[in-house]
Amino acid sequence: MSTSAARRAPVFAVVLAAFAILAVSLMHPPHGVPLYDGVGFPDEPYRYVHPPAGAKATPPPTSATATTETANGSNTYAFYADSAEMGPQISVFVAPRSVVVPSSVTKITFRADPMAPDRQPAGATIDGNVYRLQAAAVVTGGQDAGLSATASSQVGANGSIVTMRATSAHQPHPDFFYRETPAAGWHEIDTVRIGNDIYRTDLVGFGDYALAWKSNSGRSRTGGFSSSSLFIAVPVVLVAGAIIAIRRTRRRST
Amino acid sequence: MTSLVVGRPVSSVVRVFALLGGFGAAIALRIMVGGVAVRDSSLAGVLFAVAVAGLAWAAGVRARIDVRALIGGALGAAIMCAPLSMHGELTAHRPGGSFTSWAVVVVVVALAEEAFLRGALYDAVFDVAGAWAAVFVGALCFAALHVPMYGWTSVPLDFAVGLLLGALRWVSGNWLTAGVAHVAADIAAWWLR
Repeated sequence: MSTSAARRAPVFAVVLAAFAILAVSLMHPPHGVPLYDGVGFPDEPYRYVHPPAGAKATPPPTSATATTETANGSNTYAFYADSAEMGPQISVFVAPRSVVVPSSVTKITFRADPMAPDRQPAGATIDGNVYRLQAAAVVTGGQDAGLSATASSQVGANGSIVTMRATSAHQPHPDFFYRETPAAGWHEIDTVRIGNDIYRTDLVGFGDYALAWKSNSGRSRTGGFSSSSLFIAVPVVLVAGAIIAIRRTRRRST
Repeated sequence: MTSLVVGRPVSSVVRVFALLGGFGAAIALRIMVGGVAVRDSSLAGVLFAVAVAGLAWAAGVRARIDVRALIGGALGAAIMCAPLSMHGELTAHRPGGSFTSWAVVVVVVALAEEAFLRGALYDAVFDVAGAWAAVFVGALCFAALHVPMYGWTSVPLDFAVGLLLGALRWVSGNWLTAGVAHVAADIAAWWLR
């Protein structure tokens, strides 16, 4: 490699990498903020519809909304709907072909609205807001994509998920409860903890979703290291060993 | 790789593998401490930073502050923020919590990562296989360390960003250029979403 080529190589690498970033961004848009160090943002305080005594003053909670096209009686594409809090208090992912609508429908609007809890599930206390998930359809030739349109729709759970943020990270964690209509009874559904205070469940249908603390969940316990934390010693020892090995190779090479 | 390392001092090759092994252990430590909340755990992030900073220290990495590093880093940060400006938006919704305490953790973690990846590891791989390999290996490690936080879908973008940070190290001869770019891009994310 000539001297000038060698001098140009790192500049070429910078340009190449910049184009790679732009190309990847166009092909795979990042979902959310790509923090490059892996330390997440602190969440804003939970926004209640009816704040309990002592809660911090916040703006009102927001709804999650999305509009998507349908064809042949179901949604063509997957879609997300996130509420606007930081982080979102509710986030819904709807997989393709999981919302069933009349074949005349060309578009559906989807929304998840925060509501104050009315009735509590048996043996549990709702944490934060209830979120009512509903969809409405726009019939071909309809005036607009608003919720005034009529046409019932159904949803299947083929990979569609609901994610909600709890009001705190207390453990043992709250569980998801679901009711199809406000008049129906709450029943518990599968819950997976996927973050500090973030929980996921399958989208089992339109209706009301809530996180709730079961009365026997021992909420006052705030976590701490489990017995498995003993295994943390293994990587610590490995890092220390690597540091010693690196120091030795440096001494040898000098 | 075998043909690349032939003729290199054994100690250089051992150093590369010791650095990679220590790096893997540091990631494991972070995952074990953070658990399912690894992305949100400042404690896990700081322990990871201490581990990789220790590895960088052992390899003899030193910081060299100069104006070129600051300017080059600022330009690099602008490129790293491009995905945000293309798909994100400036909003009135600010993250909650204290900016200062969050920023301190972000700066510590980002600088530790760069001291290790674009300092110690870059120099070690460079000695064995040259600059292109040093940039490539650093980018691979950068993408790998983010998988536990963001999942596999983050790999293409983080790999591309890792290439840029490695290239900044190459063009400037100073890991701090990549450090400044990394820190500035992360801090900017407070306002960009």
